[in-house]
Amino acid sequence: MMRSPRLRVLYIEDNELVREITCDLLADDAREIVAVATGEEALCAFEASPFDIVVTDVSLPAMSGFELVRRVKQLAPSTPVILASGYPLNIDECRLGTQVRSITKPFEAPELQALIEDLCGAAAQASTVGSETGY
Amino acid sequence: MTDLSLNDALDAAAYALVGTRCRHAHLHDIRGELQTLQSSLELLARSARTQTDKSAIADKATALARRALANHEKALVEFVNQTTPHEEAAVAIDVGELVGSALRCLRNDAANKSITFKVESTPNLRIVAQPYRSRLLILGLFAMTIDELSRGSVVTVKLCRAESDALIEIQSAVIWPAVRGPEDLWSSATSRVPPCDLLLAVTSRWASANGGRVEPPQESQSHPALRLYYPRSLAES
Repeated sequence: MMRSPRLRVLYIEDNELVREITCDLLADDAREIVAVATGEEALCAFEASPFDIVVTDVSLPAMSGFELVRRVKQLAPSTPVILASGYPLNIDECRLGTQVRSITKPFEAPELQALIEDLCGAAAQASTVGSETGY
Repeated sequence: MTDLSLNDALDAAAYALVGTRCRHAHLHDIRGELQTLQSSLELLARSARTQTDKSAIADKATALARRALANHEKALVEFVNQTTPHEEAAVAIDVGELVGSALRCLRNDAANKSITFKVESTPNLRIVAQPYRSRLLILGLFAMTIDELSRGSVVTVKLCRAESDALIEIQSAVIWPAVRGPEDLWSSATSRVPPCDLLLAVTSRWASANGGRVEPPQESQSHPALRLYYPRSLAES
C-alpha cells in the first residue's frame, strides 16, 4: 500500500495550552495532527483510523502514557511512539517494545519534528525491507 | 536564621524525604508549564517570519505566553511552598480535593507498578488544617504506600465522617509501624531512622496540632488500614 505523503500524527497531551500550541507548531503540509487529551480518547482515535506515529505525554489522567503505549503496541506493534516527559526517561527500562523514543520537556518544535521524521523514516524503511524480503 | 528545635529538624527531614521521593513528579509539572512558554515563544518567532496573518498569530502567541507565565509562576510558588518548611495558617480544606491532587501527582508512580487507588469519597468533607503540610503528609503516605506494595496491588482510600472528625483511611497490605515520639526518633538518629517512622511521627504531631490523630493498622482489623482523623470544618456544608 502506498504511504500517504502527509504524516498522520496522533498527539496526546492533557495540558490544554501545550496541546493547542504544539498543534499549531507541528501541523503543516507534511503533517496532519490529531490531538486529544486522554489515553482513552487516543485509543478510540487509533482504532478508528490508522496513524503513522503516536506522540504522547507520560503523565495523563486515568490511563498513563506508559499504559497507552502498551495498548497501542498490542494493536499495532510497529507503530512508532514518542513519549514526552518532564524528566529524562530510560526507554530501555520501560520495556515498551521497539520504535519507542522519548523527548524531555521543555523541547523545541524542530526537535520533536526531527524525531518524528527520523522514527517515521525508519519505520517506512523497515516496512519496505519487510515487503521486499517477503516478511 | 534561628536555632532549630527537635521538632523543626524532624519537620525539615520530612519535607526533604517527601520532596526527594516526589522530585520526578514535581519536575514533570514544572517542565510541563515551561513547555507552554517555550512553544509560545516559538509561535511568536514564527509570526515574525510569516507573510500573512502576522498580527493574528502574534496576538495569539502573546496571549498564550502570558497564560503560560502565570501558570508557571503559580507552579513555582506551589513547588517552593510544598518543599520547604514555613509558617502556614490553618484554613478549611476539601479532603476529596486534597487526596485527588496527591494522587494526580503520583499517577506515574502508581501506573509504573500497576497499583490501583480506589477512592470512596464523601462529598463536601472539609477539615481545618495547613494546606501545604496536609498535602505533604498525604503525598508522603501515598508515596510510601506505593513503594511498600508489590506490583498490581490495590489501595482503598476511604474519606468519610467519623462523628465530629473527618477520617482518611488508607487500606492496603502495608505494615505500618507504631507512631514514635520525636525524642525516641532522635535518640535512634545516630543509627538509622526508617522513612515510615519519621513520616508517621511528623504526621501524628501535625495532626494533633489541629486536634486530630493517627491510628496505625490494628491486628484486630479485618482490612488493615492506616487512619488519619482531623476535626471537621464548621464551614462544611
